[in-house]
Amino acid sequence: MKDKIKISERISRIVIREICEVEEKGDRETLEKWFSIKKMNRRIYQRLRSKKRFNEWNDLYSSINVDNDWELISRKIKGKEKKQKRIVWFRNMAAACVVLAIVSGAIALLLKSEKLSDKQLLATYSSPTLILDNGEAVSLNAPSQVLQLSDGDIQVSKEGKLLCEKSNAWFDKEYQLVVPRGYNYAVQLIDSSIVHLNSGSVLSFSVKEHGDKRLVALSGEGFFKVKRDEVRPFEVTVKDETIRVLGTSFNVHGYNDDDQVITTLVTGKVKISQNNNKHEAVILSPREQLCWSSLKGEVNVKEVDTEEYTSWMQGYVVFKDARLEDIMMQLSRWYDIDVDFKDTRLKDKRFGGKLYRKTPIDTNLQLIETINKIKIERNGKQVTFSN
Amino acid sequence: MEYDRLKYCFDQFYPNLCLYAHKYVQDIEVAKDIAQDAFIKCWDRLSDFDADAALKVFLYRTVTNESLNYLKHRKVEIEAHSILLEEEYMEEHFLENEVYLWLRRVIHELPPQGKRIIELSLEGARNPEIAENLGVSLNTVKTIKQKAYKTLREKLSKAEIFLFYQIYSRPGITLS
Repeated sequence: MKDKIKISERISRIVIREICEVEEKGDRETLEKWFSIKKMNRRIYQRLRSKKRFNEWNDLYSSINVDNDWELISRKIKGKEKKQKRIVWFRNMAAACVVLAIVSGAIALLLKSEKLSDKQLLATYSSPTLILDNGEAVSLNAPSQVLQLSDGDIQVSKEGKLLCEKSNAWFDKEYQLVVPRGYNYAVQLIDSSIVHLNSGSVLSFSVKEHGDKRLVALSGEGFFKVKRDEVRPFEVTVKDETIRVLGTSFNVHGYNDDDQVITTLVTGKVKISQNNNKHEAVILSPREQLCWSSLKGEVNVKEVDTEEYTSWMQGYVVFKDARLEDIMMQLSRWYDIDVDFKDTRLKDKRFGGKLYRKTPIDTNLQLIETINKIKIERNGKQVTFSN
Repeated sequence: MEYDRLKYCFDQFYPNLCLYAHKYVQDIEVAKDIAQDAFIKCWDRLSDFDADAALKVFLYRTVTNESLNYLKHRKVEIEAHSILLEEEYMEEHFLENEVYLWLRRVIHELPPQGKRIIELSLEGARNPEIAENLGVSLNTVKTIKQKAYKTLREKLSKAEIFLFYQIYSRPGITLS
């Protein structure tokens, strides 16, 4: 059996290489040998290496909406849970501890072997964390500290801001800054540009002394103050959109759980293009906002009050005639809660106002309850809206 | 905690299980139902599986059995059935799923332009077409393509493609 696995492994590598249009010495011989074992093998191989087959597979894979289907089965499971949970609670506690140990072991292994998606990262870490390219994860919870790394130290400033320093320990590596729900965090990049990250965001960046571009990737929301450097443009990739800047400040909102990327320019100039190349690149002027909806395939530019889109950095948000669902999306990231609308029409209720992050969650919920004349119930992290 | 674990496994294995079932039932909606039922089934006995690999075995086995059951009920001809049951056929499914999944993942990790170029070239576009489509020069396409293939090759030399090792190498568990 072991030999069989080894052969399969070798054959798949050859197949992948072939799809990638490269051939290595000995590939032919290995294949011929494998074909001679069983008649069927040649057919298997020919089918596997077909680009068309891969494309069909890939399209089908993309058509599966994992989040949507998870909602379906999670509802069914929750219905089941209530009946059994209580009886086996103690037994489960012990089992759960074992599972936790194994799962965290598995996660550590995964971190080593393959990169986690932003979504997985956010689910894995409960406080702001810096991931190094060797898989090492450093918690950035306490401000004003020096973090010891295997090959150097990292400074975290008094205000709780991560500082990339011009030292060999930082250079030529890839980093991911994970800011889970319930936190805000800022990082000063090596070129002195500053990025403020809103709750539930991941910023991927590399630290290079030279190079012709400054590249970062964001999922979630961030406010960028980019240091002017005309020789080395600064590029932000958000989902399938790229924002190119020289030196400016702007806000980007592009969470993975909604289909829009909203870029609001405060000062300077930015050039935004969608990677599908169906739309022309757009240059924004201050106070302009570009909204790209991948679902509708639409690009819209309008003038806005920038405060509405940048105030989250100061710990409050201003809503003007905003949809209740959009407002709750922001609050759910701040307070790490999940919102359930019993009546979906409630999502479209509109109201405006100013909400502060430091205000206890229940006070804010009460406010929303009174203004909108609806019923809000909170049970731990679960918040339910009903008529 | 159990719930989080199931969610994690769902994100990891669900699409792949759908595609695996699809190979048998040839209807993606039915395939999704079968895959979802497998997760609901394993929820009751989640604590029986101490490692995610064991859970994966259970899920694949359940999906295989349910797919075959479905075909039986649909009264698909006996011959087709016996082909499906052949070991090679199942092996091929595994092989295809894991190889393609790996390929998909590494392509997704490429920088946006490299990703786009590889995707287009896998769709059968030639370099000049890609250059025109993306509005860049032919040389740029060639350079980026080479770079992307190099990245893929490097990843290939490091990666363990076969997560399903565990499935095969676990004693006492067969798939049919």
